[in-house]
Amino acid sequence: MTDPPLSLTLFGVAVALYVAGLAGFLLYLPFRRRPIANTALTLVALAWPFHLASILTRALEAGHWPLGNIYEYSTGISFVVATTFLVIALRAGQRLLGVPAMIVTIALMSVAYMLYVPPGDLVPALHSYWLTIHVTSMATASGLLVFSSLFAMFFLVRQWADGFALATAAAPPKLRGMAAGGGGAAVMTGSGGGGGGGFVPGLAGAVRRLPSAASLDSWSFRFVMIGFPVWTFGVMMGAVWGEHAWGRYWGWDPKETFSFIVWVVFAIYLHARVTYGWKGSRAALITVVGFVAIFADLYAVNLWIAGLHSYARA
Amino acid sequence: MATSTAPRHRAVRPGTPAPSRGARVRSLLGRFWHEYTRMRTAIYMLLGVLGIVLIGTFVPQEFTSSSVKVSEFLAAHSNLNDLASHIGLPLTSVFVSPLFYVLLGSIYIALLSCVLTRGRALMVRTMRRYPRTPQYWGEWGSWLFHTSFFLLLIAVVWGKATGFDGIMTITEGQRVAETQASYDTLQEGMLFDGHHAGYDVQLNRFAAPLQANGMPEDFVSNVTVYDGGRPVLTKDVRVNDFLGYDNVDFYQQDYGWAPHIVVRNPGGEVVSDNAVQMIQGDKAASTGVIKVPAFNYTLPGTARPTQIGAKLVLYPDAQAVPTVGGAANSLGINYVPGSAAANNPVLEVQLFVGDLGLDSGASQDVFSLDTSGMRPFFDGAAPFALQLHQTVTLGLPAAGGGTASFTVSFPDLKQFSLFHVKKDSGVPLVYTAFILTMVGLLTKLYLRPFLERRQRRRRATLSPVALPVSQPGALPPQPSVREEVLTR
Repeated sequence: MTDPPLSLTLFGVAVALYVAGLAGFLLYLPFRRRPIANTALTLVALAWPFHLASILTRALEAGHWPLGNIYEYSTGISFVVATTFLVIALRAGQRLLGVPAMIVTIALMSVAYMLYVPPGDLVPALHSYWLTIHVTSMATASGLLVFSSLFAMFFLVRQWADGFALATAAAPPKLRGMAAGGGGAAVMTGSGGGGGGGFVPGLAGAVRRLPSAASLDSWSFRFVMIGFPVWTFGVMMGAVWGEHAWGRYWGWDPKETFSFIVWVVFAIYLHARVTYGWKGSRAALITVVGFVAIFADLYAVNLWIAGLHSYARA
Repeated sequence: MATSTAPRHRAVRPGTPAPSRGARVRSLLGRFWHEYTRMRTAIYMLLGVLGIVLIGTFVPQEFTSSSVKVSEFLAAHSNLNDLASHIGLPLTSVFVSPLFYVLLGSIYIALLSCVLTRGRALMVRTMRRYPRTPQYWGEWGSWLFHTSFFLLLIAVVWGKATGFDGIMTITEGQRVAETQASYDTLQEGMLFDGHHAGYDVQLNRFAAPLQANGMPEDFVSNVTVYDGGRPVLTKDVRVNDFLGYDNVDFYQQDYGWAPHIVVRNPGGEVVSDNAVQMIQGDKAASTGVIKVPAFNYTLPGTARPTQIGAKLVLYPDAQAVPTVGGAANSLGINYVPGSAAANNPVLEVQLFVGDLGLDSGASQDVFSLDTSGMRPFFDGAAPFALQLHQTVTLGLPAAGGGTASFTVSFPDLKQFSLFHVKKDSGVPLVYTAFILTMVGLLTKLYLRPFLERRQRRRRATLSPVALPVSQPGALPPQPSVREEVLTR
């Protein structure tokens, strides 16, 4: 066995730092000390250049744009996720997002490692600059849309916690002590279990430290707003590539159908947001479906369903 | 829509005339149309599309998956498929199913209503010179986005209807005309005028250099186009580099082996001299069929001339396995496939003599041999091996108990290239629709918020001058003279 290529070593360093960062964010959940969150964020920020360097060295080792197989593609998406998280955390101070964002990043990189292939040549179908445009758009859009789903999940739990607080505030005084924070808008201080006993009230209290439901909803929408056009563009570029390489812009290949599914899911989301009875939690649930669809598109289609895109496994 | 909200079983007051039958039908239709064109209904219809596409992703489909998988699925779930077919959704062809088309049609009708209503409103706003608010531009973006789907539909239907789509195989050195007869399979659109381009395409060379791992590094067909007999264009056609000439496009799709086989009958006459395309199997062991209907030799005691045919297996890199008796071919050697490179080409020929069944009137399949009217040349239909450049002499019974020998030679191993050939004049329109979709989407999602932000900023900078005491955000829009001066 020869030495692992430099790209893989850098990849390992990045993962290790991300894992340490995730541990920090997990500690921040119960202890709520700002320095913990800042340390975790610093670890992620330290991991980022290693991650970038891993991708760049991989490109040099393989001699092509580093999105040619599922290892490279997963690494690429995890890079978009990590980068987006860093931007949000640094610009908007959203530290709690570190937990799901790092889980997604590390999960993607773990899968990438499990499906690792040494750097090598591309199959003939991938010799095209349309490939570069198509897969780069798809990877970027996937990474961005993941955040719309993460914010939507936050929105859903926040809405649940708000409802819980309202319900307990309206309940007889004896029970009110269990309410997290008491009134509708009050923000609880102290550690996660405070504000009264019990796991559920504690959890509700912790969740209510998230930004307001309206703000989370608008964050979720913002990422659909960025991710959806990129996804649309990526699918179109895939069609142009298909026309160029095979002479058909659409062929209902499983990968194509799944990218269409993701597109329709987020199109439904955009329509649901302006439809009475669908805005709010139902719209948020749709982006969660979108989250599942993106990952099904990424892995299930490549690994279990054979189609024209199956070469991405090699 | 006042009528639609009225309770259904309204007591008719004395004095008010009962609604006529026509009015009731109109009211019912109006209510239906109102429900149908609601956004909520659109969401449900899109969810329906999602469901069907999901089925199409996980169930093998007739046109995109391997036929083996499709038949396996049909065998395992025949009841389920029957049930689904009853509601117009045959599970292995959902993308061309009636239900899918009905759903898409319904979405398009609702979309048309949406696009017309909003388009008319936008035109009115434009004609009457209402203020050009950010919301106005957002509406235009949304309208353009939705309208572009009609262009996409027209482009797809027009392209498919007026064009054609087929598969053509050309062997190295062969020149083929772009006419209906040259295709292995061909699907012409309903509105296709039947005029093929008619020019000739010659495959000069084909190459598929292999990587160290045995996978092809690239596959390249060197092709010359002859129009009116004159060479007009020579090009290397690759997977990502198609040949386009006279609105017909040739795409490199696949390739295979084409052993050149020469058969001479007992009279020494060349009765077959062709490169046989080995369509089935893989590159390391491909299979094909040769038929010699005009063998031009009559076996003693029979009335009609006999025909011969053979099933062929080609190993480009045959590995010889010595055998001890048993199932070896007539040379006593068993061959197994090696790599896909032409290092040691060996052809295994399973020869049959008799009637090829070509006169039966049944449709002819050049890739399969009907042996029902034939008998194997060797006992147990054992094959004989033919190495490249080799000639094998075989004997048939001759009159008077003698032997009439004929030969089968393998002088050359060529390759053939399989092209996806199509004419689709809708493609530029499809790309135009793509551009309009993107422009509409970006206008809707970005231009409107951008204009709104600019408007807010302008008001914020304006407010201290205009109304120093009031809150900037609470300022109503005022296209005053001052604003004009400030923004100039």
